Amino acid sequence: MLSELTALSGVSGDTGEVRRYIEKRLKCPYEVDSKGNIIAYKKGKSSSKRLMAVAHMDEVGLIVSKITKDGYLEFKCVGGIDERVLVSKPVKFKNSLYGVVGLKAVHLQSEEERNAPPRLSDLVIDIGAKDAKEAEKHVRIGDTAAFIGDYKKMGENRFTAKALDDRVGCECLLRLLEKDYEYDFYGVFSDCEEIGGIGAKCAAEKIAPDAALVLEGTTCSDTRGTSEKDFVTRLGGGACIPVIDRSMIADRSMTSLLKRCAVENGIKWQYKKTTAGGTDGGVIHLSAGGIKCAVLALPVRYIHSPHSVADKRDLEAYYLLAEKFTERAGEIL
Amino acid sequence: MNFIEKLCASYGPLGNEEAVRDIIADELENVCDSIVTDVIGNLICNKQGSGKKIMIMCHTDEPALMVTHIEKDGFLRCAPVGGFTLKNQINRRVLTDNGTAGIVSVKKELEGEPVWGEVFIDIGAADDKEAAKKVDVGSLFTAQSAFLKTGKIISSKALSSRLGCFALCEAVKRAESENDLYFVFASQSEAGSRGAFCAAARINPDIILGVGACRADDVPGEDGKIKLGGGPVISLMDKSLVSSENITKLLYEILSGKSYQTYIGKESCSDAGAAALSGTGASAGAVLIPVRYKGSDTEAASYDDVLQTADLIKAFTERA
Repeated sequence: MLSELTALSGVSGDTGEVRRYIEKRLKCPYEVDSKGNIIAYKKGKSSSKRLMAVAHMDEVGLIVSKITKDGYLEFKCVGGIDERVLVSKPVKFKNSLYGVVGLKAVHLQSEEERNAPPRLSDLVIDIGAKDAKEAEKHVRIGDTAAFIGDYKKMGENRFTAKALDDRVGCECLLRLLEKDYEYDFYGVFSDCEEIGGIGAKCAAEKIAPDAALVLEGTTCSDTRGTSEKDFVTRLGGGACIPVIDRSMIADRSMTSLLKRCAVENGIKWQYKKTTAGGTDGGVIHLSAGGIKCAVLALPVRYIHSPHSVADKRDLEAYYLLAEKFTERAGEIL
Repeated sequence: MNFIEKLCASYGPLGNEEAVRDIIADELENVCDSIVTDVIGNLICNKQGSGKKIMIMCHTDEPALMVTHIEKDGFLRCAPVGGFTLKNQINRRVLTDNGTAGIVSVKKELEGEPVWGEVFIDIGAADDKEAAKKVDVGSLFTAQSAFLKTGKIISSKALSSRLGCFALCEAVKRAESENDLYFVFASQSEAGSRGAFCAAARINPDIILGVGACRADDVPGEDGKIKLGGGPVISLMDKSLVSSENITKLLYEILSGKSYQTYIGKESCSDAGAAALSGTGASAGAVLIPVRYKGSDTEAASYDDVLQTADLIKAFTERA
């Protein structure tokens, strides 16, 4: 379940908790490779062709870079995080150690400090330790801390949680792996998407599929103060089909099959209306001499923050479109 | 229309280069042992031989503007894909694959430098419904400019990609070599040499020669280190490649007694660097055609330079 998946910590390169959960749910054969990817396999009626679907297990988070004398933890961001979302947020280390991101109290800030966004160097993680000695009992440099953002319903159709990017893809892929396929189907739960896609690259080279579908969460900025042309996607607008982003030009035979599957099954869909952003598709489509690749994404507001928001109707559309596409993938293989 | 004009006029935004590929495939149909298009959109032409495996490549694509949003009043919002410089695009004509033409512009009273978020394309539509009949989010517009010949220069949009295609085609037709020759008309160069990288992984060549373009600065107020009409340019170092010594040595030998130039710089001039990172490694170098106003839709070059580059490539295939 998505609420279980989003509760797990899995900062890039440190995804063991997510991996163990997925391993428990898998009913088909799988392997864990040297990069920490799970490669699950469903044998098709024919093995003449291969389809690969990819979702990334990792999420953005923090990594400890220094333990100060007075017991605070200096840190760097893993993946792209807007530093302004960090102030006063709780974070969790793997050993259940709890921390809070702290900033100098507002009454002590200079006017300049108050008027500028906080810089990473102004922030520390407070784990309640009285000094370095106590902190060192619990944490080492290089340990990662993940956001805490409980799964909650919001309004009639929406919900919030941390790490919707890309646990929605993981849940979708787990569902796809419960079905049988015409051709061999590889489900890759990748690591390190948020820092460039090393995991997906290695899996793609190894599997060398005829086509790859990337299951993602994507930006949605349909919020107050933004003009419609800059929305990128709209919550409630349906599953999202990107055309071109910074990392890849999606294969047109695949995007057109995605659109056909949506239209023919009455599934609501929308374009991603920007060329910004990137996914595992960027490294996958350049692997093994070139692989056909496209992306299917769920619109997510406040992405890469502890509390992202999505729409359950979009989520249903996303699951269903992924299912219809993989059923008919033979048409583009 | 002659071959070079046809190449320059063709529509080939990155990732959608099929029109350019078709023109080249038609031209080379009877002179190659095989012509294939791969997954990423490279056209790969092979002239079989028993010698070294040599990959010679140019690129087919040109930068584009992708439609990101259709406004209620029928204007289009867009974002650049590939290397479009914004200041070169204001009040220019553009064209999409179904022939819809448009004008790129911004509002008159701008504070400071224009940014892409303020740019729009006017296709003459009365409202969003009318516009949606002609274009959609994801539609790609490329520059539109008539081929020009004036004095000793030729000028067009996309010259820095299509002149390479022309020179390479001329070399393919005439090349007689013992070597196993792969001529790659690479896709998606504007996105960071994606086509070339994939082609080299498939072919795994012994030798790579990139055919590209470099900026000619022989205009008033500039140094004039690279001149139009000064002959082909041997690239010693560009943004992504320091050329292999054995390649540059051979290029110098072939050009001995002829006019040529050399380039050392940090601009992106050919896809050879990306190709050299692929496969198990190859000696790599590049020859460049000088182009004035590079990156604009009125790029200019010397036809003589192009013909000499074709001669150089032909000789290279035989002597490498």
